[in-house]
Amino acid sequence: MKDKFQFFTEIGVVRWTGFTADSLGSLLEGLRDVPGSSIFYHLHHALFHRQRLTLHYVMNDFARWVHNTLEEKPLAEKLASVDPLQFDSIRGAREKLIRYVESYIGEIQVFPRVPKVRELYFMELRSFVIPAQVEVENLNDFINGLRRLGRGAMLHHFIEARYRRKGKYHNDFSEWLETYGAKEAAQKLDKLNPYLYDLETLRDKTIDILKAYREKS
Amino acid sequence: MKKVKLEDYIPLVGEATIEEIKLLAQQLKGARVQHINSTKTGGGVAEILNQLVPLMNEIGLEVEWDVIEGTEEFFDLTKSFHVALHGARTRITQKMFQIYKKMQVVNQEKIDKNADFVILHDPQPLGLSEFRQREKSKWIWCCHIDISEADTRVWRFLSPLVDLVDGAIFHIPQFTKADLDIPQYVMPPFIDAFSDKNRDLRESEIYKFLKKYGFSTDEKFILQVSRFDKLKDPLGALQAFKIVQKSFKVPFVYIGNFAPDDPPGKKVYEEFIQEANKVPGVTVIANPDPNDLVVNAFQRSASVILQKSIREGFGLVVTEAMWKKQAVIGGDTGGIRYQIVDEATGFLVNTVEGAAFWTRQLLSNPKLATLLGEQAYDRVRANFLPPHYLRNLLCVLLSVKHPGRGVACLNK
Repeated sequence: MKDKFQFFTEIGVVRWTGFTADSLGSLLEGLRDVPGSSIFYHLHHALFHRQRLTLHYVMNDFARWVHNTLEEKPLAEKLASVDPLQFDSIRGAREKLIRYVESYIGEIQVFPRVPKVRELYFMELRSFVIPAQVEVENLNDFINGLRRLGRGAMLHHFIEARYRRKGKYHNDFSEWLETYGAKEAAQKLDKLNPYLYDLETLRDKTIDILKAYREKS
Repeated sequence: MKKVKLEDYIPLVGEATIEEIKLLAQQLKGARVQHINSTKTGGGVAEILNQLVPLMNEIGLEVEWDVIEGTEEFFDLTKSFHVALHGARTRITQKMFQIYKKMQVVNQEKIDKNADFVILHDPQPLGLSEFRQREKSKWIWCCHIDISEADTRVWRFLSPLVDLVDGAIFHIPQFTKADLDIPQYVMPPFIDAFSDKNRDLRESEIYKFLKKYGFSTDEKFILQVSRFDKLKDPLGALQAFKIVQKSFKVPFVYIGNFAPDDPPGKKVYEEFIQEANKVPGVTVIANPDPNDLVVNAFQRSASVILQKSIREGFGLVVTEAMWKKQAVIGGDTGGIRYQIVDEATGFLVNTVEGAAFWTRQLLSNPKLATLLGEQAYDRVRANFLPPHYLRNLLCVLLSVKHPGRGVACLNK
């Protein structure tokens, strides 16, 4: 008998960490001192935007603030290039961000400051992983489950899975698909770069891959 | 009016959002929640609770809404607190603090001792936090105003009362307070998509309400809808119009309200009328009737909508205009900055000249206005409707119930 797949969803609310930045100096301090949950939130926040309103919305929050508010565009480009896919942990991504800012600042010790209303607020997500009442054992039901569930399911099974999983695949779906016998779809899904899309588009891309596999087999 | 159910929002927010609310609600099933504020009618908080309480009951929570009592003296002083919390100068005395505390003693009997969660709205009932029974229930303070520049005397008096609850909710990050010791959550408010102010109108309805004030549906006009309040910068909007007038023969409509017992509002109104009378092409509609439908009709028909505020709370009037697919030109302040994604859903401006510049651009480029207006509507649909607020609030309830950081697994 094939294993069942239990969908979970992750839903959260945004909370202020108590840290703000009004300059490159305080940005660096914040990057060093804020909880990892805040680094995670700001690196992934762009994934929650259903609409990519401007091109700058595809950047992570640190890069966008440095670009739009501090107008330090070379640094913004470097920060935007920090790809969470390249790191196994938030610590690794945090260190990369810190290195970019440190190297950009160099020996400068006095920084222009922005007014309070333009400060970067370091936020974090307080979230809850909840079992969705969707347990499936075949591909059709799996696709329907994905359709019904929102970005919370993608966040848990696709994005956070990357940090928690130790197995062959980077996401929870691929592992189940392999046990289901859909190895090709599992591999294809694992190659999908989630950071190129928002979570809803990512879900739609996942569904497309699974539907294509279903039609082929 | 038909009672709005959660499922009515599926076409607007999608099935997945409603599903998430139901899953969160299961984790809180049967929880007893008490909202406490200062009035059942009038004002933004009452509007929010009128929407929220039935939806919370619908999903299986046991929700009640109570209102504190107060003498005229008490409500006068809370008005002064309100002004002071916004950062404006006003007279504050020690006696006011004493009366405030005294009324909290009187109102403590309103607290539902069996509630699992007590949610206090705004400063008026905040002092009830001194009477909480810590072991029994979780308490939340929901702050619906911008207190970022609060008068220190009032804030020093109120902040210890805030620290007695388990979590505070603010509309945008800039409204949070660095000196609080409790978790501070950020969630934007919402508009009621089905109310007279925001519902779709038939062409005949729009025609009727425009005609009432001398306009037709095929006529272009620039609009600002705001209270007669200096912080909404009605004179700045008028000056911007005067610049636009040099290139476009388009009228300017200002719709606003003021109460007869609001002397500062009346003064701003009179000053504005005096200036407006000197400028051809200006129509001032004070206290329209019926307010919500007239505002709705004018917002839907305007060519350009201004919200030239110098200072703003969240600015739900901007949300309402965006809901009508309008690209708003808004003052770069408070919640307007949070709502308008500059050059994507509208324009953020800091000066009269900036407001005039973008007004001319939108008047001369209706395709751009349509594109930004569509994106503005999508932004509201994705963020500022009751289900989004409800989903966030349920997360806050779970968060105070399960204190901690990051991700928590709930296995029910």
